Amino acid sequence: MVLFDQVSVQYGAGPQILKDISFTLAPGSFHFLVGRSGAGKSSLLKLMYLGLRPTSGLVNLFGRDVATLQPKDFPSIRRRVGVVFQDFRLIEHLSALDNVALPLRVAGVREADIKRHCSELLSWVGLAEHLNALPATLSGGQQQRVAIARAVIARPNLLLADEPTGNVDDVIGLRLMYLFEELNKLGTTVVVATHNDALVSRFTHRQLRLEQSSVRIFDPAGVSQPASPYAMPTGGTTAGGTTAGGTTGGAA
Amino acid sequence: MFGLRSDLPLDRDAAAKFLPWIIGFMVYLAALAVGTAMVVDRLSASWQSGLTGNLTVEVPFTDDIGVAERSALLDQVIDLLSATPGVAGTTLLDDREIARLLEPWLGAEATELDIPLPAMIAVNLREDAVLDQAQLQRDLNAIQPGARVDDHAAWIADALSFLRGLKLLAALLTGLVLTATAITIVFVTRTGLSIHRSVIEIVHLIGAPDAYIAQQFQAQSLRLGIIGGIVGTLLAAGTLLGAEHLLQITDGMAPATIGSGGDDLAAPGLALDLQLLPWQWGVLGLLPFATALIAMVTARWTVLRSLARFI
Ligand SMILES: Nc1ncnc2c1ncn2[C@@H]1O[C@H](COP(=O)(O)OP(=O)(O)OP(=O)(O)O)[C@@H](O)[C@H]1O
Ligand SMILES: [Mg+2]
Repeated sequence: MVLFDQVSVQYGAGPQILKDISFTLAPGSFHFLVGRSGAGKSSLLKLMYLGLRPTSGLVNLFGRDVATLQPKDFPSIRRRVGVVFQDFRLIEHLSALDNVALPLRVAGVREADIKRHCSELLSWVGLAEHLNALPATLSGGQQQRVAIARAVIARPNLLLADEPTGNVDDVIGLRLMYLFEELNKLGTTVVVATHNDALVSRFTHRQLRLEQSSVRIFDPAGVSQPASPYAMPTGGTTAGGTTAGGTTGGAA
Repeated sequence: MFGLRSDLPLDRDAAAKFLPWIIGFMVYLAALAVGTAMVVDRLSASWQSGLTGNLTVEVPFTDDIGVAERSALLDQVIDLLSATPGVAGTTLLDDREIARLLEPWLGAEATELDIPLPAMIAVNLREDAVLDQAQLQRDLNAIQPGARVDDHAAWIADALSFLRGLKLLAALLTGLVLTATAITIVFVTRTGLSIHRSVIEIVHLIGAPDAYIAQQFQAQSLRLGIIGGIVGTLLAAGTLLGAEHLLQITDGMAPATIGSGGDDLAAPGLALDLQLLPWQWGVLGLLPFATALIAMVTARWTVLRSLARFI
């Protein structure tokens, strides 16, 4: 589904945000992406929705090397990926319903079906009263739920949620997590980026831990392991020693 | 309009608000040019057929010729003409008419001058008549040396080349106007693209192909093009009708000008008929749709080209 091999990212002449990162996400898997603010979580997700090209290394999505993709190939890949942006990126002049409808419209779904699906989903996330509200008139948490509804409405193969519960209370946050789990059960590969440790600790999903520009996979159900079969020996040891036991060991 | 939904609030853009006005003005100019070209086209056709169906025979006389001798000569000429195959009829212009025709050149006192005016005979030809003009000329000279057949060839050539020039000018103007319209659309579309860049980026990330975005600009250009085009064409039609009406009025006031009523003798068939035929009105009616189509295609092309660059 997703394969990173020795991927590095650097914005312009700035520091390396991600350095020689390698991991794979199996189809149907569920991962948290954790790391401190500024660790590069959003940047890593960008690589997965074709919002950023790696400075070096190989990113493979759905079996295709993104470096070989033409711009005309982007739309079909992006339609298989649902993204909850950290800053929501709702379209300001469109109602909540029309924002959620966008992926379906792009996919050419019938207008009558669109109305029905979108209002159902918006009701499910608690926005039945706000179908026709413009984003500016919604609270932060309500906007976030619109963004989530838009990301999942078209049943993507890969769901990337960047801090999707940052603006909602714990009850709604859990409800949203269950929404992601439902989707995951239906086959969607899910990545949820967050620095809400309390939330992460309530689940047993595997964690991609970003630290010092490197990533390692932590499995609360089992043992910590190098992120990827491709990982360089050096990358594996540095990351392994410092992170494996730390904060999350107790949480599991 | 057209029940098309848009993800981009294109109609709120300032540039787009002016678009129907600009297109309306452009189409107005284009419609005037096209209308003029079609009027001119009809004129040249009718002038050509009118003139080719006619000859003028001019018979000069010497000073000392007597009235009886003169009319005998004219009878001979008219007999000759009537006997010529292809001739449908002849009309002898009397002195007063000739004087009136010559007035612009010789002045009002032409008749009082002691210049012997030549006799003029207007000859109507049958349709499709093929006349041996050289033979006719020789026969005329045999009766009266100096008699001349004038088939207006030089005049026709001049008039037609003038009309051709007019048509060329109209075509040029139409081309320029349509080009200007296309350039305006390119400009407005590019402005729209940059204003809505962030929305376009979101729609892109959601997986919309460029064509999906182009479609919204297309729809807008098509709609505004049709609105502006219809207004412009209606105004142009009004102007053309008004011009024709005005010409009829002035025509009525100065009966001596070319094309006044039944007086076709000066330049037979030179009616200045500015009316458009039904099919020509049809062409004008298509203009707004043609313009809207050009606008739509231009918008699509601009979006696809620009987006290909800014991924
Ligand atoms: N477009 C950009 N241009 C330059 N630098 C950037 C850009 N986006 C991110 N960065 C830098 O990359 C680093 C990682 O940013 P990123 O947004 O990926 O972090 P994050 O883990 O998502 O943080 P947070 O938890 O606060 O969202 C930051 O230091 C940031 O300054
Ligand atoms: Mg982030």
